[in-house]
Amino acid sequence: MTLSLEKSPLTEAAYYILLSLYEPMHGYGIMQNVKVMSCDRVNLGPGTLYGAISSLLEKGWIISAGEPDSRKKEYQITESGKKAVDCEIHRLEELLANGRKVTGMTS
Amino acid sequence: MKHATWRWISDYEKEEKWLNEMAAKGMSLYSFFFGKYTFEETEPGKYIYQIELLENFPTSPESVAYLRFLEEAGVVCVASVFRWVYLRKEAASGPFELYTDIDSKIKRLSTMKNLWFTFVWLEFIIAAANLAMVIYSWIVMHQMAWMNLGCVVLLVVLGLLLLHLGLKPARKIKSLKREQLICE
Repeated sequence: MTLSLEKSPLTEAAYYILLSLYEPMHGYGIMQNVKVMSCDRVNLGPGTLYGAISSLLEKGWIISAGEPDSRKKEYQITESGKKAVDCEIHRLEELLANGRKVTGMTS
Repeated sequence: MKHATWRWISDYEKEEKWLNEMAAKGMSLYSFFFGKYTFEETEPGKYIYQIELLENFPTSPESVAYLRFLEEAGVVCVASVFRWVYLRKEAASGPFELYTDIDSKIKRLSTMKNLWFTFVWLEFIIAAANLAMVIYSWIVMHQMAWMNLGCVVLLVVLGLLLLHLGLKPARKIKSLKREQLICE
């Protein structure tokens, strides 16, 4: 995938992980947080979560924070990560606005 | 009480299903070593099992980091054979599914497909080399190289079995990719 980083839609997993990491959090914490935020709808499997965290680290959207030697690694969002979230919110707003306009549905 | 059973299951999905059926009956896999399954008696349905193929050997730093990450989520690795690991999680702490979106499911299946297809190629190359020997000795030395011919037959049979194992994830990848066109 070599689409320009900030333009391509985020996966649901990536979006919720990024949102969770506005506060430093470790892996299991992210899983719980996403579950709560989505009212039990999104249940990230540990394998999926690990893969997404690795990709986000690679992109520099999150960094590992806290003690480097502690068993539980904590992660935190970076400035470029926040930028990606902003872009995603704009994209989602466009999707929502168009959806509402066509179907006449209001929230 | 521990119980040992010998079994040979080549399809990991069937193996996973069997392990979960055993766990539901109160026989939880405790260790595994080349066909020898050791179970411990637990309360029925205490654990859920998943089998995974790691991208690296379990002792590599990448895999150690991954397995440690899983431990945080309450997933414990009970046994490993080459790159295959047997994972379990307590059922009381919720469902156990390693991969929950199409992207990561495809990635997992590709690792499996690649493993089997690598072996398939290897088998067929060695089989072809043996076949060449058979033909050579027949034409040049007018002798039947029975040993080599036996090898060819054996390797082809084994290769077809591996091909069968590799085609399963390949087919699933194809259908997931079609699904991916319209949903995540």
